[in-house]
Amino acid sequence: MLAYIVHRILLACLTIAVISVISFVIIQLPPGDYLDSYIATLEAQGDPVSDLQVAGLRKQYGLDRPMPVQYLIWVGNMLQGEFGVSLEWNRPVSQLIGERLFLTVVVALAAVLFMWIMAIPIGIYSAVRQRSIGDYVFTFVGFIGLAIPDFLLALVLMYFAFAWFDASVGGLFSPEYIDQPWSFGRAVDMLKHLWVPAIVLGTAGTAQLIRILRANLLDEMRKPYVVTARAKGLSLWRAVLKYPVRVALNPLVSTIGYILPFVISGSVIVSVVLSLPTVGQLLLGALMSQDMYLAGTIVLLLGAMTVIGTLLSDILLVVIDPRIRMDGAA
Amino acid sequence: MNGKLIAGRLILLAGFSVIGTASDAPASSEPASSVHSFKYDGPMPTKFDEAPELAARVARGELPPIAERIGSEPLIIPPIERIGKYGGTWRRAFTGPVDYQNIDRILHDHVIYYDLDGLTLVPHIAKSWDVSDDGRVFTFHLRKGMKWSDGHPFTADDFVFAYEKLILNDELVPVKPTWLRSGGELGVVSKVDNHTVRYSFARPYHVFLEKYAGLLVAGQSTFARVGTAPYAPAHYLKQFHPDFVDRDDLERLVKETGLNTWSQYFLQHTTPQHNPQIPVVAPWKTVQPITSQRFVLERNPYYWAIDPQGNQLPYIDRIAMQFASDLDVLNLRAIKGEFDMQHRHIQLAKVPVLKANQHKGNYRVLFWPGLGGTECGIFVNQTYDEDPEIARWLGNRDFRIALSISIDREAINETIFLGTGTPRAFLCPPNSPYYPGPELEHRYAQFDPAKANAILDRIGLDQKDAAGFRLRADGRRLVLSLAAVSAAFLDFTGIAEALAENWSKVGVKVSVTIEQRALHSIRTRSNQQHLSLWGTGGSENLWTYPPFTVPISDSVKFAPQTGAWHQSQGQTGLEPTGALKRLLDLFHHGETLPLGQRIAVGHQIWQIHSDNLFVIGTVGLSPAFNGVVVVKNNFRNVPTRAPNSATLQNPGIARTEQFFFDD
Repeated sequence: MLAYIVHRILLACLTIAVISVISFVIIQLPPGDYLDSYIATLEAQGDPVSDLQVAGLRKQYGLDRPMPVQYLIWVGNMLQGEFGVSLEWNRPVSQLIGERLFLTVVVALAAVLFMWIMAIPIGIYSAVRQRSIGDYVFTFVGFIGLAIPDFLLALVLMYFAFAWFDASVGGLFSPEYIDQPWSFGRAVDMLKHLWVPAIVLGTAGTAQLIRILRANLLDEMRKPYVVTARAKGLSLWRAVLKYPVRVALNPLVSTIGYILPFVISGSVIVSVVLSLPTVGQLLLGALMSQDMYLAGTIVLLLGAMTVIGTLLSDILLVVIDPRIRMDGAA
Repeated sequence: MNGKLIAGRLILLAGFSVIGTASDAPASSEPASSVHSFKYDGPMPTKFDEAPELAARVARGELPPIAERIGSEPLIIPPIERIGKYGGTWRRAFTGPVDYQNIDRILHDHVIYYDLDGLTLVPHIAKSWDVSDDGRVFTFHLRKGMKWSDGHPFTADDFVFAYEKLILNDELVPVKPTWLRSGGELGVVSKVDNHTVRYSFARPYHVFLEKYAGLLVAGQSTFARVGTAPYAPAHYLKQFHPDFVDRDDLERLVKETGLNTWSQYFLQHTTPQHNPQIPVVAPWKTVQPITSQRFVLERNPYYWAIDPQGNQLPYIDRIAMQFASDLDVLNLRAIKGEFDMQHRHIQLAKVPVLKANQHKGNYRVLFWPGLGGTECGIFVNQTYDEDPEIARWLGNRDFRIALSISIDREAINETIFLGTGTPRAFLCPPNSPYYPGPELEHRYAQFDPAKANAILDRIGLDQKDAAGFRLRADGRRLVLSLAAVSAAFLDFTGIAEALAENWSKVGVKVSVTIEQRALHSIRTRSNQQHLSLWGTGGSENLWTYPPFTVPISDSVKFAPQTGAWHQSQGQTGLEPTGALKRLLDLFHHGETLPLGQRIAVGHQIWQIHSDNLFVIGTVGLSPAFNGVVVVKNNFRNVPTRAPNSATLQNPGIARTEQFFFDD
């Protein structure tokens, strides 16, 4: 067991290193660099700009050096705990990400909670009352949630929040709470803003989870031990909840590893549309302007989180499900 | 007409019925007498007044009294409506750290500036100026007693410091600003005395004043971040400059902040939007930087302007900008009435919803029409060379005329511009000094597809394929590409589709390519475009903003290779002949002439454009670019109409320091 874990950790490190190379290269692939998008941004805003000035800036930012050199500088800094400076924000990358990490996790957790709170009861109900009206209604709603693009849902919900509830739209805080220290009022204000992102981000995942849970539970419920338990007089709900549900929850555990990176990266567009101050929004801006250190660090962070998350969920599965054996090499 | 356009028109007509009143429709130029002027010849007030919070600080001994703070020669700004009241926080929106111009324009700390008519130069930081007869020497007189926001005196030394220690320093400013050059040589900035600065050039440079007043030179807020501002707080910046402190100490400080070079570190500290510590002379100074979710500025207690009654400006205490990453969120907030005065990033397409909510949101909507030659120009690449047949047609004047007269400009005006623009040719607005005459307004801009067909048949494109598209000499279908930038300020994609449709009706196949901004810029400079779409804001000032009318650099869309030739002084690119050469010659000749003599040259430049259609105009004079202004009803002293152009830096041109809250 220990050898298995150590082996997996070593592989994880190697994977993260490869991810760092790939992410850095891909970010540099589009023609031009940060300064080209800087000029273009200014031109698009209607602001004239001087190309000659930009040539000087290129030299100043070190963008005229070859890519392998820039990569090695980045890795070298990383090993010292520095992730470079964002060209667009003119601040250290670690500061930018650190500021937003807490709120990113909050939004992600809210979405995940929404997903599980909705998906688990509905999934169980759908399986137990298969082919009932309730089952069809939930299935229908689930698929609609899956089919609507999340940014569209975000825009629609935002408009209704404004039109029906006269709520302050976008962002996680009303203007009066934005840079205040934490207080009960601020927390309540955040919850008032959190419902739109939670619903939008959670809907697609909810539909997926409902279907998976339903399918697995249906399989389990046909098994002889369940039939025996019912025959022996156990009530339906007790028979289902006691054991089959636990088995059906297995896939949920194995996807835990993907949840955090999924919600962060899946929320990039939604974060931009809703103006949420999360890491996802930072990533989109960095990618569009080819702000390579910021974009590279965030992509690396997501990759690392996925790898670690997968590792953790594998270990978790081994722990909770005694049926899994490791035969020979992992 | 295609169903899409019909549907579009119906929706817009429905929207228009909501808009209703014609009072907001932009008129053509107003008579000069009705435009407010910020020139003031009245007497200097003897009593002064200040904002209550400043008076309290004076009482506590934290600030010197008002008369000392504004100096003995403050600028007097006559307000547009009435004398204002102190107080209030101006709420606005911004889209991130690259949205500098949002605040630059509000601060407009230029040395001299334009009056509200967009034509007359008036004193701003400098109280007056002199120009030598030969146009080579410009002397600016500063205000006695004027101070930086930390109380330190503002003198000619700050100009010399900016010139010698920043602009001339090759590590800070590797490429010297073009505005400082006349005839290829750098001018010299010198101090005559504490309150007199002199700029001396090798060759006559009359247009320097117009450049100095507008965006090209601007002030500390706009250009400190690249080191080319005309003045800088010497007393503060010396601590970051290797000419004044030990180089090694400096390098160590730089390493600690995680930056790479001392120049990056220095420039970060010169930028008021990033650094709240740096002294400024703008009406408001940064409290919370532009890299936060909320960008906040507060009044500058040493601001050197007053109203005619002696009240120190600005009236408004604070500016608070809220971050919005997405334009839809920003516009939704504006619709809700969350902003006190906002025009930047407000989308023309949202006007029906804005008007529908104006009573609930308690705001009014103003239109400030753009001044560029056209809101959306079709740039025909004259130096394209990859495919000789296509190059031949792009370079054929009759072909361009045919393209121009097959465009249904009225339809584009209705669908894209909501009827707020004016269909016209590519030409400066009627109140520009270089306006050649109304006969050129609609030249080659009528809608005459029959005539276009006749022209195309005549010039050799008479062979058509089964689908009705004209064929090249080799029998293949002639296909031109039209490049439109996605996610730009105007719906270029929509306009491109409409144009492609218009041109397919006369048998010219045009394929629309949507390009991301940076890619579009790169493809333009590498001479790959056939036709491109872009706005031409700034083109009304031929000499202060030439990239849309004169091929001076490789990003000029209608002749990138000519621009490359000019920019590199003949090393690369293609030497121009004919009309392109005349444009460059006229441009350089005009640079040496005073405005009175330059007007005739300007007429000739516009005549060349009218004759040749290098840039085909579609719709002009609309408020699409930053021209839709949402103002709360209690926010006063905002002009109903103001010049809308990047060069003039609206809304700064409306003197934001005299805006106030009336409650």
